[in-house]
Formats: sequence, structure tokens, C-alpha cells
Amino acid sequence: MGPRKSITFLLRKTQSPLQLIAGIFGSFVGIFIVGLAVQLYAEYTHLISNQGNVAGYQFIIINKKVSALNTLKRDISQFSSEDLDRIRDLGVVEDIGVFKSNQFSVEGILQIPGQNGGFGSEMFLESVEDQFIDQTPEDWNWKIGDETVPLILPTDFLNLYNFNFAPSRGLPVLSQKTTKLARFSISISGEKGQETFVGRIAGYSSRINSILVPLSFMEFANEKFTANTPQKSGKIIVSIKDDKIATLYKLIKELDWETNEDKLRSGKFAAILELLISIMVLVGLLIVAVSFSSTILYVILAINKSRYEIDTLMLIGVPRTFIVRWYIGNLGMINAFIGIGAGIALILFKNKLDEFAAGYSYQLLEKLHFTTYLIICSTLLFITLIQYLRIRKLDR
Amino acid sequence: MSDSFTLRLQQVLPIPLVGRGANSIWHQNISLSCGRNYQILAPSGTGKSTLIGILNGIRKDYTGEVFLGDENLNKASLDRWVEIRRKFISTVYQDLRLFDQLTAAENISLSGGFEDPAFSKEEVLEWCVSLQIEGKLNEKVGKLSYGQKQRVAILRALNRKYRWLLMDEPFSHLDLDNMRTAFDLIKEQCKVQQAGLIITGLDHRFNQDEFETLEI
Repeated sequence: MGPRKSITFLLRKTQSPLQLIAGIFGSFVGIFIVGLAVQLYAEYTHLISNQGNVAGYQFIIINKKVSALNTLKRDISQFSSEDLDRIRDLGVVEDIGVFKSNQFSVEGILQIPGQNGGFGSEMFLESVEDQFIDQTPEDWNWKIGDETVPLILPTDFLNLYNFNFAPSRGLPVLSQKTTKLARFSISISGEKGQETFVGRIAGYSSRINSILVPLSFMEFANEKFTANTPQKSGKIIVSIKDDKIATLYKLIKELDWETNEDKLRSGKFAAILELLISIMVLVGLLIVAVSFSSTILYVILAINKSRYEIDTLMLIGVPRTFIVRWYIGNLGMINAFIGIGAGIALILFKNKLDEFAAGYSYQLLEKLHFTTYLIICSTLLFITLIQYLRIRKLDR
Repeated sequence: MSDSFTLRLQQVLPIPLVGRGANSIWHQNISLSCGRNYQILAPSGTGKSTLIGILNGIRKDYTGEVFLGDENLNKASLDRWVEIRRKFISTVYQDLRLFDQLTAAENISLSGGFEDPAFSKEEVLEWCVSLQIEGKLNEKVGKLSYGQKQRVAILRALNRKYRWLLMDEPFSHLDLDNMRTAFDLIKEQCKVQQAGLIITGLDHRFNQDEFETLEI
């Protein structure tokens, strides 16, 4: 063996495989958790931005309670501007939408070809700003002069028809697509006149349990067919972040209004979920701190184990830089392998996560987020730097 | 040439020896010329190894100043000390400081560290033969007797370029024949390299005419 080989042999010989494995394991766990936290956060924000209702904003419909005391008063169940201000003053609501309903009477008639007459029914219509509708259909618009009026029906309507009404009458079940082909007449009459439009189902909503028409149509029809009375509404919709729902819920209870309890419960659940995630992040950080200290400890142990060799080499004139470079070269290589290993482990984990999420119809990110790679690399560089700073302190 | 490698001790006193009586080394201004031989005479426990330690930068616990030429070694950094050991000062340590896991040959060749070999393989082998260690060259040092180890340590110290050779009781475990051979080899090599020699624990059986004696 030449001198250089002898030196590296000496330094390598004094390393303990068990300590090395413990150090590698510590770093690996630390890097994996850091990468996982970043990736999960990226998935979380991706889900919020793309699937709104998963864990970000909730849309809550609020109406005033109708009790035996106020059944006779017409206006008590309407939201006043003071009511709306009280909600806004809470400072937790992102947006408030006020439902507008028809002030005229509406009758819908479904013509069956080849038969006289058809099915007919009194109807009610409502409108709200588009941003509150869960899925706005592409052709969701109406302007003066249009004969056809698009409608959004509650998903429950179709379900009731398909699973209750149709079987009992021996009628065929209908898909959403089929119903969109149907046309029916909407006959409107009020104090100022009467007109018939063609109705068309543009889409379905699971969020809003009402028959929706475009706001432009509602405003036009209310003005055209009815005497000009100021419009109030008995129903509002608010968008609110999950973690703020509790505050809103308090006000709703206090004023004895009504809302969809399920939504509130899911909001509470999301808030608990967020709390759990925060706790997990804290625990994760703790594990990361412990695992990083294990890598530093490994370096200290490795140097102490080789103390005699390092000291003696420097006593016979082997430059310190050579020894430091040997250590940092090896640790750098080990760190690179740890990084690659953690990357592969994260990709495998991500695949499993994708499969799991697909089972719940959630669309996750296509691959590991760029930031995840970036954080893995920079964390490893940081560890290597700390190790280098520790090794550089060799003295004799 | 020798002047730039003169070792000067100015009022040097190891802290553990503070309060002891004066002698010819401690708390004096002395100058050791490169190219001359010095032997340190002292009862044990009075600081022979400490002096060697101070001169090659292991010991820092002293007052006063040490110079190599014009360089104040008190101010030398660790890296500078390693460089000085690599280029100018070769040492045989009392505890030998060998690597048990390496063979005798590997230990000897490690001497130069990173410099080009100062001597040819044949020349070094000749030294090994004269010190009767050639049969042990491929054995791990850990398996050698202390006397054999001592010869490996001497050969490691010789197998390089230096301006000073410091030897801390290098013959303590050698028989008389090996002692004489080693002693002659060391003197010869110091002449070849125009190096100064500082040796402790020299036996009265040796011809000490060529040595200047420093007593502690």
C-alpha cells in the first residue's frame, strides 16, 4: 500500500459499521420526513385550490328559522342589511351571496310528443352570484332577447326521480346527460304581464338545493313582470374557511338561524384535521431534530474513534486538509446516497398515496413536487456543511 | 543555510515545572544550531519528553518563546505545525506512535506523508537489513516486539527529508548491537541531510564526543 492508501485504510478501519448504519438511518428518517412534510403540504394546497370543498372553503347556506310565532308575519324570515352586516362584522366570512327569488308565478310544462298537454307544475326559481355555484355549466348565461333559459337543478331531484318516482311508475331512469337534452316551457305571469320561455337543464348542483336560473334572468323577470318592490331574501350563502366555521356557528346559534348542520360538522372535522396536521408537523420536526443530531453525533463518534490515527498522522506531517477532505468526501457520498434513497422512498410512498387517494376520487399532484426535491437537496447540503464545520475543528 | 533552521529557546519554562531550580535548558536563552548533535541529560520526570514535545508543537503549556530560524513557533497555527513536521522536523516519539494495523513497510513508507520519497527503496531496504528488521517488513506492526517496533519508528523518522531529528529515548528496548548500528545510521543520515539531532536517554556506552550535552 502506498502512503495515501495506507492513510485512507487507517481512517476507514477505525469506523464502526454499526455507528455508520445508525447515522445513515438517522439521516434517512430525517430527510424522508422533511421531504414527506413538504410533499404532503404541496398535495394539501393542490387539493384546496382544485377541489375547493375538500378542506379549504366551505359554502354554508343560512336561513331564518320559521317557528309557530312568526308563521304569520311575512317579513320576519327575510335577511335585513343589518343581519348581513352582523355576519360581515365577524370578520371570518370570505363572501356573502344573497339568494334572489321570483316575485312572479312560474309554471313549468313538459310537453310529451304525440300527446296533448303534458306534465305541468307550479315552480319557484332562485338566483345567486355565479361564484357560489359548485359547478357553473359552460352555457350558464342569459341575456335579454334569449328565448331559452338555462336551469340548474338539485342533484337530489334527479336522484328522487331515478330511485323513487321512476321505479314506482315503471318509467325509465334518466342520466344527467339525457335530462340536459329535454326542453320544457316556463310560463311566467305577474302583475305586469305574461310570457313563455323555453327551459333547459344546464346542470346539477349538490350544494344548492333549489332551482337556479341566471341572475340576469331573475333581475329581468322580476322587473318586467312585477310591481317594483324592494327584494329581500330569506336565504343567504356564505363562503368561509374551515377553521373559522366555529365562529360563524356561534352567531347562527345566538340569532337562532338555521343552517346545514352536516356542513358545520365537516367544518369542525376539517379544523380538527388541521390541528392534527400541525401536531404531526411538530412531532415531525422533533424527529428531524433528533435524527439530525444523530448524524452530527455519528461524525463526532467517528472522529473520536479515529483520534489516535488522526493525531498521529498530523504528528508525522499528513496535512489536515487531506484528512478533512477524506471525511467530507465520504460523508458527502453517504449523504448523496441517503438523498437518493429518500427520494426513491418518497416516490414509492407517493405512488401508494395516489392509489389511496384515487379510491376516494381525489386527484393528487402528478409527481413529487419540485420543492420536495429542492428541500431534500438543501437539507442534505446543510447537513454536509454542519458535518464539515465539525470535522474542520480537528486539532493536534 | 543552517542559521535559518536554528532552534532558539527564550526563557522557556514548562508550566508543570514552575518553581523548580534553574538548569541549562529551562528559563534560559539557548540556541541549537542545525547540523550539530545534542544530547539531553536529565533524571526522569524533569522534562525531557516535554522538551521534545515543545520542539515539535505537541506541548503548548509553557512560558517563553521558541523560534525556528526567525519564525516564532508560539504563533504557528496547527496547519503550519503539520507543515513544519512534514518538511523540517522528524521525530521518534517515546511511545513510538506507529500504526499497529499497518505492516512495518507501510509504516516506514508513511513517513514522507505526501512528499516524494526521499530515499530509494533499495537504500531503505539496506537500512532495514542493517537493523535486522528486513524479515519483519510485511508483518503487521501490532505483532512485533517492542524492540522491533522501536527500529520501525527510527526507520520511519529517517525515511524523509528533515532539518532536525528529534529522538525521545529511541534505544530503550534495543540490544547493544542494534543500538550501535542504529546510532551510527542516525548520525550518518543527519550528516547527509545536514540536519541537527536532539536525542534523549543516550547511554554512557556510546562515544559522545560529537555531542553537546544539555543538562536539565
